[in-house]
Amino acid sequence: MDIYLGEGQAAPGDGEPVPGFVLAALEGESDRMDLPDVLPDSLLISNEWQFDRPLRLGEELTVSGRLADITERFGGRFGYGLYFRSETEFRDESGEVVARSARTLMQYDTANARDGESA
Amino acid sequence: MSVSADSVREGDAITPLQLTPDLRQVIRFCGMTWNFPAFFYDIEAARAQGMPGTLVPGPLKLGLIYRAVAEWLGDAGFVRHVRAAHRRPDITNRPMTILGQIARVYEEAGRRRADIDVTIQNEQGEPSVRGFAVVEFFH
Repeated sequence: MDIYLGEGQAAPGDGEPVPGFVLAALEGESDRMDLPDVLPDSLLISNEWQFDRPLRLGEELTVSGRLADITERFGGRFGYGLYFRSETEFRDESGEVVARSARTLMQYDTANARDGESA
Repeated sequence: MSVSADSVREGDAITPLQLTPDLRQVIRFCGMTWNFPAFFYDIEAARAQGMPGTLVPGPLKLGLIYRAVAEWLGDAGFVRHVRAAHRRPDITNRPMTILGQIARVYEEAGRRRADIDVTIQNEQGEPSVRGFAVVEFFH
């Protein structure tokens, strides 16, 4: 919590709601979905978190991830690009999905980029 | 002033949050997520990418947007959804401001919810992140 709120913040007690940004740490608990470096450069395009209810300290969650989509893009200032969308689900002890996260990462190769053309 | 489901109106602004993420904060975030691209902590690696300084990770900025919305909301509800579209890099030790404006207030699944347009603005006043949040009120 200190990373987001600054030092000296009181942690929630057992069973109390926890801030949603705990997902950033929990995502790291899943098997990391290391994408192959298909193209020379990469850029984070977007990321998001969704919650069906507040998460609570002490509850046990099961994390699963998948590569949800890959799309190609040609042209623009990034040249040739591949967009990878990965999604992670967080299920509680009853098996209900309680939170989701997603991110879109672009790998690109500017070798064929055209100057002055918007992305 | 505390927020409530009845008091929120379309066009209202959330409380702006001004922050200056520093290198220590970024390194701790990298450790928490176990993700260590050099341009987050090594200024020479950042300069080699054409950046004037080390970068603030995008996922950290998503969490800071979450914080801004949650602090404005207080005990009135919870954040259902937050999304960040990254437009330009933010550099450590430079101030940024998180701004938000209520775009829509509505009922869904028997609950009162609000959509919020969110922006992170850098010290030049340029948007580095555009995003949105959805909050759900408890009552």
